[in-house]
Amino acid sequence: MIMSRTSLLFFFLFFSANCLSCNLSNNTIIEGKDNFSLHYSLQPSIIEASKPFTIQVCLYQKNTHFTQIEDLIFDASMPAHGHGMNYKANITKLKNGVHLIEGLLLHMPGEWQFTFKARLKNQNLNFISHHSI
Amino acid sequence: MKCLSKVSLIVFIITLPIYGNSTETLFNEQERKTILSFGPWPPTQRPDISNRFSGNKKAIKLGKGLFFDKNLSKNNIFACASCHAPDRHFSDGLNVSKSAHIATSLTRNTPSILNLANNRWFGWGGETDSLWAHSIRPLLSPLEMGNTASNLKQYINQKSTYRKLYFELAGKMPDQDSDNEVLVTIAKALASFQETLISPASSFDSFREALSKNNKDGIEKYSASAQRGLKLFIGEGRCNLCHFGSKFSSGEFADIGIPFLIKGGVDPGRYIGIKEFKTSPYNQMGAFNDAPKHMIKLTQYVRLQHRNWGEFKVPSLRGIRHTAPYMHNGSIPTLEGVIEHYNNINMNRLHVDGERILRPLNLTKQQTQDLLTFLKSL
Repeated sequence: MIMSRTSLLFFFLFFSANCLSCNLSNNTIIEGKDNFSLHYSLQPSIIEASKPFTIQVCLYQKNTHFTQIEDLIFDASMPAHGHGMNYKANITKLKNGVHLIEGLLLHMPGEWQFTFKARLKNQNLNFISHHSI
Repeated sequence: MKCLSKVSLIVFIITLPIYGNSTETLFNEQERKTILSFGPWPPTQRPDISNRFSGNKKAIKLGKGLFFDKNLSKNNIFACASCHAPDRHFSDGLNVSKSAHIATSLTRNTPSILNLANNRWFGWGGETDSLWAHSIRPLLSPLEMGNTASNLKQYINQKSTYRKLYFELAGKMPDQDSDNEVLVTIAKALASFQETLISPASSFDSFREALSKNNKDGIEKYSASAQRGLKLFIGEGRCNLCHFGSKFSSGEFADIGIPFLIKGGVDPGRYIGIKEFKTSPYNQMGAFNDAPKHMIKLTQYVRLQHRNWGEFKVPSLRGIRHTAPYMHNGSIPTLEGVIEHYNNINMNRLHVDGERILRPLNLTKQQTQDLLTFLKSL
């Protein structure tokens, strides 16, 4: 019953990693499968056509910040017009487990679709949201 | 039945337009919001952080002197103002630009350089991401002013007024700087001057202002034809999908079915523009940019796509009545011709993987006239 030091350290690190703070303000939440949900916030909070913006993303499983994302892909498109962005999103993982997406600009007013693809160790998750600008 | 008529009355009242008379009822709330987004004019101008001289009075003075100076070209016959003539809305009225020193014409139309401050991309293909970098291109292009950084340095160093202003800006004399540093300083001064070139408020701006204040008299001063044209522009015509904001431009690029064949080849437009930008030593990722790297937010992320082939910059529509001929190759002589192009657009000329937005407008004669009246009011 006595836990080895290694196991203790492992559980401590695992627990800490999933408890990193993810305090996004004005966030949008997309529910996914297996109790996962993707939370993201826009900076600036309102997207204007042809104005750059960034997104911060956190993945949650139930109420816990899930930081074990191996890869995150983002793209935005206008399904009605058959085109995406003129820029390629640049994604970096910050120290607090939040993903920062830069290089974003929606060059046309109308309905845009955001697609987030999170690759985890054992599964892939897709999240889709819509923005009207 | 009584109940139904009450409901009908309520629905009627709710859907009643904001204004009372026929002229003012032309726009619903959403359209009104869209119209207000075309202003205010002039917009708030931010200094260009990639140019440490942006907004500097001495830089503007030096830039103005250089802009009108023919000695900046190889054969001392062309100034920047020769093609960007103040009395022609800072354009030249020609189909395509002229070379300063060889008997040939270029392949693209000279765009007006009014309202360039705070743009993201410059040139029909977006070859540069700053106004100062774009000012370097014609100075050195063998097909335009055909000069060299070395000659320019020598000239600036010899002319006492320039030399003095240069010292005040750079903190050293031109001959103490490298050729490239002098070239970039000259370009940054030229850009600082060009940032001050802003078109005056138009009759559309007066209308927009009146609309924002619900000023009935002001609204009525804008002709009914222009108002109908505006309604078409933001409605059926969907022109505002690309021409939006206070400059009536997305600042990005589009393929609108204008042939891009040129003598001896093709003009790939944005496709080559991105390639040139990425390899230029003067882009905002380069050593001559004055802004901290982390502040260069966007242009470094531009992606080269197949559909960029044949795309050209979406031009601002401000002052468009003064800048004929139109399109990147100056192939359409009149604004009427531009409307006609969209009226009967050849869908086969559009990129197969491009944006599915354009389709023939099939406007009536009256609608064409209204759209024309609106465009001329900008």
